[in-house]
Amino acid sequence: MTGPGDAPHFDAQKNLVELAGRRLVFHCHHYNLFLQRIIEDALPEEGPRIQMLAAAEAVRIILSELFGASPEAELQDKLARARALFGSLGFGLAQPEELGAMGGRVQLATSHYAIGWRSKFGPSQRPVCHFAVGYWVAALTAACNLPPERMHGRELQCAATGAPSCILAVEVQ
Amino acid sequence: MAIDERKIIAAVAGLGIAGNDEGLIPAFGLYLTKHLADYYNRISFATVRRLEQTPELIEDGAFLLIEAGHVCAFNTFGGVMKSAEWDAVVRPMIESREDWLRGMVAVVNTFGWGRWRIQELVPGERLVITVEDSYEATGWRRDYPQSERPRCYLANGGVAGLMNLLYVGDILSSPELTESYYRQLFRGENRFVATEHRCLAKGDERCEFAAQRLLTSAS
Repeated sequence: MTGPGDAPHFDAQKNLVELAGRRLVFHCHHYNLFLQRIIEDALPEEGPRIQMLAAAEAVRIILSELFGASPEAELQDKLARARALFGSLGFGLAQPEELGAMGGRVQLATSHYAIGWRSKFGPSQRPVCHFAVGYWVAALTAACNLPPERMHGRELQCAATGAPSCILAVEVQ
Repeated sequence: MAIDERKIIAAVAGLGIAGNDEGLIPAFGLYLTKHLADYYNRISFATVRRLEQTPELIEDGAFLLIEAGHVCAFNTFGGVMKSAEWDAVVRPMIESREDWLRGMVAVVNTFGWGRWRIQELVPGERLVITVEDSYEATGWRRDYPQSERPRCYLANGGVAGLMNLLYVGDILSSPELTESYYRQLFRGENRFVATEHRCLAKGDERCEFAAQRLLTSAS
């Protein structure tokens, strides 16, 4: 399911790609996972949280803009748009059917970060989908128009560690 | 000049690169993402600013993020220049080794990173590139005070990477992009390194990078 403005726009005069007024950039799994690894090597305690919060901030701005064009839409329709966008941008195949207004779970049948990590570094000792956690925290924040301070997310299991799929938990506090 | 940048941009933009039924974008031997510039900027700048709180780690933060740019250049630029899409769109325009670099810069201009322009190319010696609307510098300028240092780490690594692929390695021979080949290109004394002399984040009008051999740069 998609809505108005969900497709990125390429401005061939300025060479910029935009979605909801924010810039998109192409990057591959080598860069994404290497960047993630050096951040976590440099800041082992703060690194995962920096990435999750950065994702939540950046995604919330975009989805709030997109959802704002159809404020009457039902929660599940908004989450379906978030799912479609997640996949079209290459982040993976998300199944948010167990996510509701008070939180819940999102399963990732595929995850760019988990697949990329295993491909580049082999199995991980810990979950790696910090971006995806932030993305789905932001999706529920924007869909329910909640203050971000009330949201909490974590990854319960991750395919990068050998689990059959990634499962994210989003909680509304 | 043989390379028609507008034609390349139109062709690459026309590929309609987007997630498949599995929500992934396999292309050029990579998994691609159309990612959020704000995300990269926040995680990169948060990390480097945190490290800059310790004076002896100031250079380390920049080094790490530029190294990520080298990894990006090696795999993404290398993957693109070995791809069937490159052979179909860019290769027919190529008349010289330097055209490989010009063609890759044209492809970079479809990535959303800003507008890259080659200002000077001395084969095997030196490359000067300017970038308008670098996503790193525009992000810094929007969210942070004017910087004392250049902030386009990814682009810095990318500019050096172009020269290493062309003049330290030989991407024309379609080598395997292995870890050992990476070390050969980016660890030797003969490698290219880039310096960002001007940066929008510092208040300059645009960002400008010069890549030259490490030994030349050091002297």
